[in-house]
Amino acid sequence: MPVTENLLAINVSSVNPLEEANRTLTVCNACRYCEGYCPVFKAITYRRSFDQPDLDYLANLCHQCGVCYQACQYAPPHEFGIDVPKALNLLRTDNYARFAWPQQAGKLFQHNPIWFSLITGLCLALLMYLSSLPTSLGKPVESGNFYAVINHSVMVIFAGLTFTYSIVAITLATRRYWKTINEKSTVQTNWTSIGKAIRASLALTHLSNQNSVGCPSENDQPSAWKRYCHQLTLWGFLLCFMSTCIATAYHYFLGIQAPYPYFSPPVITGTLGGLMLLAGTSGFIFLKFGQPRAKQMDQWQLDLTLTASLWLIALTGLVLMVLRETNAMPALLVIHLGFVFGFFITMPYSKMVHGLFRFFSLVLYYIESASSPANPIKRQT
Amino acid sequence: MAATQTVQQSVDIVIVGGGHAGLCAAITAAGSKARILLLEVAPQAMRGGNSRHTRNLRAAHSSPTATMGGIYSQTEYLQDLLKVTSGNTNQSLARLMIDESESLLVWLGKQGVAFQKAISGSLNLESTNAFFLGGGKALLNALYGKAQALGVRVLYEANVVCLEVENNRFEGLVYEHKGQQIHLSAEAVILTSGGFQANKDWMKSAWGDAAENFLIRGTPYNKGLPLKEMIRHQAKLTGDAKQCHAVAIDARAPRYDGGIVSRLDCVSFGIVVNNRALRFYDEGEDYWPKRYAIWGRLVAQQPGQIAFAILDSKTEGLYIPSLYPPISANDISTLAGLLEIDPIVLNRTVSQFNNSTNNGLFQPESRDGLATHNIEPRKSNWALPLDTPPYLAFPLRPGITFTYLGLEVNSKAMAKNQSGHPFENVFAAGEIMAGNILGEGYCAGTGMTIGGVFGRIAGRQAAACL
Repeated sequence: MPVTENLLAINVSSVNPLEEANRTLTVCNACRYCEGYCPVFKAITYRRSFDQPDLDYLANLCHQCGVCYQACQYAPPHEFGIDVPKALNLLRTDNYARFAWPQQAGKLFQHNPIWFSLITGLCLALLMYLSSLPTSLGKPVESGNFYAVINHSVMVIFAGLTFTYSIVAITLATRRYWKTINEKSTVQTNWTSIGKAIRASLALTHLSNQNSVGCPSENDQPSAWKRYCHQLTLWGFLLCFMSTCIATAYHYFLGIQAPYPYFSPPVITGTLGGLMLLAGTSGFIFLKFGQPRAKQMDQWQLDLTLTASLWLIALTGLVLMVLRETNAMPALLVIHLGFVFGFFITMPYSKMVHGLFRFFSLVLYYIESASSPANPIKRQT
Repeated sequence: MAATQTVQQSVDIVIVGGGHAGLCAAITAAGSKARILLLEVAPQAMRGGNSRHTRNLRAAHSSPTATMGGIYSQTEYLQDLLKVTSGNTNQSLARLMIDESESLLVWLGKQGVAFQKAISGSLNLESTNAFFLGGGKALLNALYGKAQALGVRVLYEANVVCLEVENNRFEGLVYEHKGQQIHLSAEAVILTSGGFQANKDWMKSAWGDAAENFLIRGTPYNKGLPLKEMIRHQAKLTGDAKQCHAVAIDARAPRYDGGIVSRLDCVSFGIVVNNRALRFYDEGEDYWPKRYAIWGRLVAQQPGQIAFAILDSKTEGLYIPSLYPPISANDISTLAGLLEIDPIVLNRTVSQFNNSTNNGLFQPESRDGLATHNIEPRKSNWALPLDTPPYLAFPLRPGITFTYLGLEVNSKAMAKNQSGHPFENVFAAGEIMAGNILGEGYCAGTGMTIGGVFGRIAGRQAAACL
């Protein structure tokens, strides 16, 4: 009887990311208890079945807060063994490689993300240092002058190439992702949806305790800590980026050369950003190591790599600023830039992709939630 | 087990069963500084009995609440209850429950239970039922957290095997935990251990072999041992062993614990045949949510306790996607083959039904009166001919939520003895006494109201008798 076949399909979890996500969300769509939690569960109700683009979209819409897992009546040891965050995490990892440009680089990176980003970054920094040697060698290191260690034009070329590569690769990946998930959409992308998505991303609306949920920690009680850490990391990162932009403007438009005084806008934003980044990533590391569940996630390595590299960038950046007038500066500068380059060159393959993929998932979510009837199908208990 | 040494313990109040009712009792009694132990038979991950599968509770309210629109007066609530139970309810207890249902909602919110707005279009439940954000397991997590923060001790995998009642008074109980037998004496006991639907032998003694084919929608842990013990101690019972909340669910669901996802709500858009390929009841008598609770019994009365809902592709999309995909075929004979029922009879049943349908406006959202003529049983609404392949079938079995046979209680949630007098210190709440309110039938969300209201009363009264 076909009866038994179907039964097996629902009860048996799969190692194939798409199959497992499909199985999991099929159970969710017949249950819908989590509808009040986040956009993932509302987006599920707009569909009767899930094809590959649907699943990719839903996987990246997830913030992995874990609240639905804590609330799930079908979570293991129930025979359905439903774990939405884990299933979607598995598919996201697959996505980061599948949509990557070039695809091979994505796969290679996932093979050993930590070493991949450390080695490429430090190699680039060393290469840059060596390229500067002909001009810098023999000259005394002026107090706090980075360009005496690494020639300004060398630094511009290395940073420019790394950054350009990283932007091009991540843009291509994101474009590929957006085209895939948006394929079936009949509604035009509009500014209202983009605006809502920007707002939700910057405010982390769906990690918020708007429903007095918060993100559960390892026990089943909600906790707001993950959101605080995420906010510190996100805004810290944006401030650091802003600091770099201001410094660039100082250099090229105002003609003011580094090093900048401690109380100048680039240093203030950079320091504040660095401190926030350090606090946020420290919190993340603390939370993640405290949770056995986090380590069972497929993306554990990717999570750890991003968190650790941002932590190292923030730490070495702050130390560099404090010790910039000592003999340790040249070594610190090379190490700091190594982490920075490692971060940027692997950005198109790292968990940084999450930021963009989730943002575009949110855009699609706001488009479809505006055009879909709230819930076309009647339901009661 | 005889060889293991019995350990002695004592507390002030012992609560048997860690579902919604037990937790409401524990939290209420914890205000009194009593030493409270809650014994839960399931392991921690599967704690909470049937509450784990619940979604909402029915509450009266005189003005719109944060999550419920309109008003739902106590009178309306009582009328709804009288209708579904055909008056088979203890009216004074029912009024008490309804009266306290509104404050229960506020109280649960204070204990950390979050509610969500009723889902739009959830068939008139938006003004009568408060939905738990994330469902019953989220409610349980909040209540367990609160109870433990108040000092209630919780022990999982603790199976109560014996209750000691002497001279109308509870003296103590024996429970098994990790291979050890523990004797616990307490000043009061609150029984919140649910019905006995997961006890196959007991079900069979009421239903005969038909019970073999019942699916248990909820927890596999409700075996009714504490209820059995109270029967041994001559407690007065209410309800009938055959009465229960029984729904027609997908026959492919697991034997236990299938919960909400095993629900099918397509039935009223098609026809339902038994394994002889014959129709047996009016599929369109009323909205499915008002009829799903009678279909469990209807299917239980069919040969082999199985039935098949048969639809065509016209109405697909009008019902929630099912967990298991429909069994589908391009013609009725092939479909009958897949269902292992007689194709000739099924063809005849379908064509007789199709010939009896009338032209008219099909309106899935309301009772459209699109009925059949000259056919028995008739179909009163939504009678569209089955003529657009692929034809779809869903197998149905009775899905038991909980049994109604239970302890008769008074307004203080005290269990009664045969002579109708209450035991001094035995309280009951939740499914174990739901039969006082639900003599038969079911009204969505009432089970959780019974658990919450009587749980709080039991907690209060047990603390008062210390």
